[in-house]
Order: sequence, then structure tokens, then C-alpha cells
Amino acid sequence: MKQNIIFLIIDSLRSDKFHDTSKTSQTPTLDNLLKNGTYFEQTISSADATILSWSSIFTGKFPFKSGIRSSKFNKLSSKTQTLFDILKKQNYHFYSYLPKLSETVGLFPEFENDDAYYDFYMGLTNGLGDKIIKKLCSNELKEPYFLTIHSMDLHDPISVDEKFSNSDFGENYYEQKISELDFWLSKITKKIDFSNTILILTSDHGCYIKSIRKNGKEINFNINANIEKTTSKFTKKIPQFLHPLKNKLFFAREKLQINKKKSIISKLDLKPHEKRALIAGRADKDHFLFDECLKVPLLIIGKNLPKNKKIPQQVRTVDILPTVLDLIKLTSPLDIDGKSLLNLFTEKEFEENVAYIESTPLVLSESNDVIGIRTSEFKYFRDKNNPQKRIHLYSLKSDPLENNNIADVNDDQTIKCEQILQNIINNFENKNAEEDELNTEEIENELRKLGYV
Amino acid sequence: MNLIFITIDGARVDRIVNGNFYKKLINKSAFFSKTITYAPYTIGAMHAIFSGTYGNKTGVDSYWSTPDFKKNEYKTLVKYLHDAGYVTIGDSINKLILPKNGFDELTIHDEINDDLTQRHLSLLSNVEKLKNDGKNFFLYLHYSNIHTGIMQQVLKKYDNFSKEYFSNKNENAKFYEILFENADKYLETIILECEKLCLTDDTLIVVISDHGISIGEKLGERAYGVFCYDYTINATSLFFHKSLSAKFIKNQVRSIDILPTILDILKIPIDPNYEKFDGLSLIPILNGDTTPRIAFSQSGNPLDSGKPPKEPNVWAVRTDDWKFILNIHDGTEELYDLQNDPDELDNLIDIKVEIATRLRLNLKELASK
Repeated sequence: MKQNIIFLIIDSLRSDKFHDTSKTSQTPTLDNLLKNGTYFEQTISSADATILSWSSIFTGKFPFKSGIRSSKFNKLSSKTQTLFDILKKQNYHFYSYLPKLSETVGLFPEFENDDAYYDFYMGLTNGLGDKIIKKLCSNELKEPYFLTIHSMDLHDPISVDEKFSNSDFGENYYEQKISELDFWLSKITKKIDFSNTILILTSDHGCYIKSIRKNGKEINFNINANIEKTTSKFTKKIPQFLHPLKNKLFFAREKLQINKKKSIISKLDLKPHEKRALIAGRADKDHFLFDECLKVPLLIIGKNLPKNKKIPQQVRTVDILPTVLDLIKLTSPLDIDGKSLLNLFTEKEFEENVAYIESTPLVLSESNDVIGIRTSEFKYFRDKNNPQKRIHLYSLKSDPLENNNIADVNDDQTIKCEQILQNIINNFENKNAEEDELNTEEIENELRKLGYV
Repeated sequence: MNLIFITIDGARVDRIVNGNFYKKLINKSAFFSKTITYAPYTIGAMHAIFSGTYGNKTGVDSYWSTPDFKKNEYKTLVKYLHDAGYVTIGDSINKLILPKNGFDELTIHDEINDDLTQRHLSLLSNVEKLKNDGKNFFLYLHYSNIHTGIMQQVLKKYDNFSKEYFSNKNENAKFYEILFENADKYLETIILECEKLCLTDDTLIVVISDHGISIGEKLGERAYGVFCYDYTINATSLFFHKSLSAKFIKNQVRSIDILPTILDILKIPIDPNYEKFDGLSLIPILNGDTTPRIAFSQSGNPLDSGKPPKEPNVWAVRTDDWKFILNIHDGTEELYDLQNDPDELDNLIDIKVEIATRLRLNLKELASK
């Protein structure tokens, strides 16, 4: 019998707040899980937002190859094989707890539980935790199963339970929420039978924490969760024809808030990483790819897997799919970008792989997006459409917080990184051209010729 | 043995069985008059035929999904022949129609300006040379002029609810008759040329219609690719070679059975490295097997959008006697007794509950990917 797999994604969880000396949350459960598993300390997500990141995790391919295009939010190309497609052939049963709308991307299989999709604002504390525990305690899960859980608890707007809303549980709302999550993870993981189940705990992307301490004082630009929820409930009722107006108001409000924040920040002596965290807004036109939004935790626990092991090398979320398949002794498809991490478990030689990274465009308006690469030494990204624009290069060894853009003073490294990026893109584009792939617009033109459009 | 595969795009079964030349060819061939197409439009239909598998599995289940064809999982007719050493040549109407994997040369004709008969005669002359050079060949010919006429005179003039169109069924039928007669003449010219070039001795000739076409039977579908009624999903397939006995088979088969049949006749083994076909060879039926074959179809009703939908929204399952339709877009269901109501006018969904329940389950099973 194949092992069960529980795939737990905690949306927006940063690796430095999961396991690092800088964390201030209370996490006895996470600490205990770390002691019982293998932790990858430098895991890089392919994208800074959920859908593109999912596409990478569950296909083992970089986002632009999966068909889920960041520019149009197309569905997953049906010829792209997912982890679920592979496991289906091995008679796995699929269950999930995913936020609603997840079903629209064409990535997930048909789940066997009726409550597979939950309301966006449901967190572990207000219902989701109990649902998961009930399911794990029931006899309803047919084995072998693959249970996907995606918690939105750390996603903006964050609402911390009163019990955890004080400095004993973390110096800011984000870390307090992690303490709250830890309490629920304790309850959930107690129900897992690790003798026949592999637990994978990771995140889709990181985030900016909009709260910092300066001279002993907290500057908190966190979005008020209660106001946000009320606004969301109200705006959902707005008729379709008023949506353009609604969107206009949203952007105007965001702009107003950014200006207000800028005015406060200008009076403070802040480092670039502190400034960008505080000032980041949902309607920002210029997108970036800093580590706080890309570096995620990856912890794997299972029978016969190394315990209390920490792996410092850079790995990528695209590596998760081949690793999972390797763990249950299945072969990975040949056309994926990910590489199994099993050699790292056994301390065999492991060559670091370059991480391709991509920012996620705004849905309601145009944004200036970037693409790039990351190695354990350098981070490079630039404008998605123009290699000469908005070039960023950071030396991660000497400047891990990415405060000093050295692109202008390190031409050689910039050119080298651009070449690596070009290789990744061109290899795919050439292969694609051979296959005579057509985009939606081209298909529409062909259908027009046939008189169907 | 070589293969010439001819698609008469949009040929209706009621005209085929009465066509001047078609009739003569049917009398010499193994002919399946109820070859139920997976999709009543060419893109979905041809991908299912060429892969022997329903489009919900191969990825091509809509007008839009040609690039989604899972070529690494489903081996196509052309790829089979290519891998078996055939020179593979084709002439098609549009680049969305066929999975191109395996073609040595696939040209696209201009359906409005090109003379298809002359163009295809010239291709026959090319394959004759290949034959004389001792090479096996596969030639795909797509006759698209029924489509061209329908596109110019129906699709561009009317919408799916135009009163003027649906109230003039006789005129529509007359217009279609002209288009069909031209198709019949084309077929005659091509087959006679094959005989003249002595290609028929060692060439299997397959002639199919990919789907039928409405002449105004049902309001809401001025041509095809909207509903799943028999006037569009009842296509035909014909296999002509001296090794095959001439038979007119009226039992229901499926267009996905065409590929396994060709491989069976050409003695090309099924490649175990690819997914299994949904279809089955028709040779056992020619040898007397009467096991019923259930057929699954999917179509894309554009409703009032002016564009076909990106996902199929009309699903149907058909047996020799019954048809069950599920309209995904509005949740309604239909059930027809095909023996007593071939025009599908009397919806028995609330009357024949047991049959509906059984077929609903069949549909669910076939529609799962």
C-alpha cells in the first residue's frame, strides 16, 4: 500500500518566521515537527502569489510552462500533467480544504469530500481547523489518500484571535497569528498517523510584514481585517455594471493610503527592506521579487525519513513534485523543471539548481512585472518585457536583505544572470515553436476564418 | 498496405446513402452508417478520430483546445504510420483541425479560392511516385467545400435563432443538396483516379464524414456544433479494399473505432507506451459480432455569446435504441427513443425514468477524465 500524503500549504508563510533566530512567535508544535522531519532552509517559490506558485508546485514546472499564464490567468493547459494526474493512476483518493475559486484554475482533481472548498475568510480558528480534525478522525478517508490543505490564515487581512493578540505570542500581528496557527497545528498533527503518512508542510509564497519596530516603537500599517471583511461582504453585493466604479474607488483608496504611508515613512530613518515592507500595497503597479515574498519553509516528515535534519542548500518549490514521487517510488515525468531532493536526504552529492522566479500581475489593471533567477549567491530580476529595464541584482551572501542593488556596478554578473534567464525562457519557447502552439488570440483568428466566431 | 484517408466534412448520412457515386462505393465497401462522432464539429471530431479516444481525455474537447492535445499520452494515426515507416502527407482546411504530430508534410488549403479536386489529384500523383519508389504512404485529404458553402450562406447570414432560416427548411435542404452533390462528384473523381493510378490494389481507402449538418431541424442550431442530435452526430465511415468484404452495417459504432480498425487492417501493433484507445476495432463487427457499443458525444452550445464555449456544455450518450442528453449550461436533460422517434422530438425524460437513470450513470462514467 502506498503511503498517504498530507500536503499542507500555509499561504504567505515566510521561512524566516517559520524557523529563524529572528522569529518572535511561540511555536512549540512547529519546533517539535522540525525535530521529527527534514527541513529545507532555503526553499524558493517560483512566484510571489498563489496561483502561479501552485502551478509550479503541482506540475513541477516553472509557471510560464504550465499554461496558467500570469498575464491572462488562463487555466492550466490540459496537456500539462499534474501531481494529481500521476497519483490518480496509482489509485490515490483526493481530498482537500482549499479556498473557494481554487477550482477555477483547472489544476485540481475532483475531490471526494463535499466540503473541499471553503469560504476565503474561514481560518483554522473559525471553523476550518475543526473540519480538518473531524475529517482526519473519521473513517471517510479512503487510502491511499492525498489530502491538500491550504490555510489562508496568514493572508492579508490577518485577524488574530484575542487569546494570541499580545506580545507574549509575537512582536507583531503576523507572528502572533503564527502562534495561533501553531496551536491548531498541534491539534491537527496529533491526528496524523505518521507510520503510513507523509506530511509536507510548505507555503506558496512569502509576504511583506507591514509592521516594524523602530527605536522601541511599533509602526504598524497592517490592514484592519474586520473593516476588510465588512467591505468585502458589501462589495460582493454590488451589481456587475457598477464594478468599474468599484475598482476605481479601490485604486483611489489604495493610492490615498500609500501617500499617507509615504509621508510617515519619510520622517523615519529606514533601510530599503523596511521601507518596501511598510509601503507595499495591493494596487502597486511596480512589482519586485525580494526574498521576503519568495523564500518559504519546506518541511517533510514521514516514516524512515531523516529526523531533525536541516538542509541549507537552495532548493525550489518545483522540486517538491519529483521529491514526492520519489518518496513513494514513482518515476517523474521527463519534461519537468523540478529535481528530486532525495539525494539531499541521504547526503549524496547535490548540485544546486537555479530558481526561475516571476512576479504575479494585477488582475484589474496593468502592472510592471518582473522575471528573474535566484541562486544561493545572487538574485537577479528585471522587467518582464524588456531586459534593459528595472534591472535588479543583489549579492545574497553579503546583502541577504537585498538592500543594495548592484546591477549598475556589476555588469559581468548581470550579463551572466540574464544569459541564464534567457536559456530557461528560450529552451521552452523553441520547443513550443516546434509544437506550433497557438495562443488564445491566434486560435480565435483561426476560428474566425472557419466562420465560428 | 498504404492508406488514403478522405474526410467529407459535414456530409449528412441521409445524403451519403443516396449519393450517386457514394452509393456505388458503399456497395463495394465495409460501410458503417451509424458512426457516432465524439464531437459534431470538425476540430473535436478529427482529434477523437485520429487518437481513437474521446476528447475529454485527450484534451481536445472544444473548438479552442487544439493546443491542449496530449500528444505524449495519445498516439495518433499519423504518428503510428510515421513510426511504421510511412511517408505521411496531408491537406487540411485549417491548422486547428488535426494533431500534426507525425506528418511529414501537412498543407492547409484556402477553402474559398483553391480547387480542391485539382489540388488533391496532384497529391495523388505525388503518392503514386512514392509508391513507385517502393515507399509506403499515408495521404490525408480533407474535402471542405460543404463547410465553405455553409459558412458563406448560413453561418455568416444567420444566427442560431434566425426565423428566416428555420422557417425555410425546404430551401435549406435544396442548398445543402447542391453542396453535397459537389462533394459526391469530388469523391468520384478521387476514387476513379486512385483506380486509374492502380493505387487501390495495395491501398486501404477510408472515407468518413466527421459530422452532419442541420438544415433547420431544431431552432438554436443553424449548422452544427451546438446540440447532440442525430442529424449532426450520426456520421459515417467507409473502408474500401479488396481484402474487406462489402457490408452495410447499421449497428451503432463510434468514430473513435476508426483508428483501431485501420491499425487492425494494416497489422500495426498498438504501442503500449501510450494510453489505451477508447475505441475498438470494427473488424469483429464485420465478422458478425453484434455486441452493442455505447457512444459518447460532447458539443459546445454558444448560447447567445457569438462564440463557441471553451468547455463542452452539451453531453450525450447514445445506444442503438436510446439517447440521453445533459445540457450542462442549464442543467436540463433529454431522453429519446431512437427507434420510434428518430427525429428526437419527444423528450421522455420524465417517463422512462429507469432508462434515464441507467444512461445518466453511463454518461457520468464516460465523461470522467
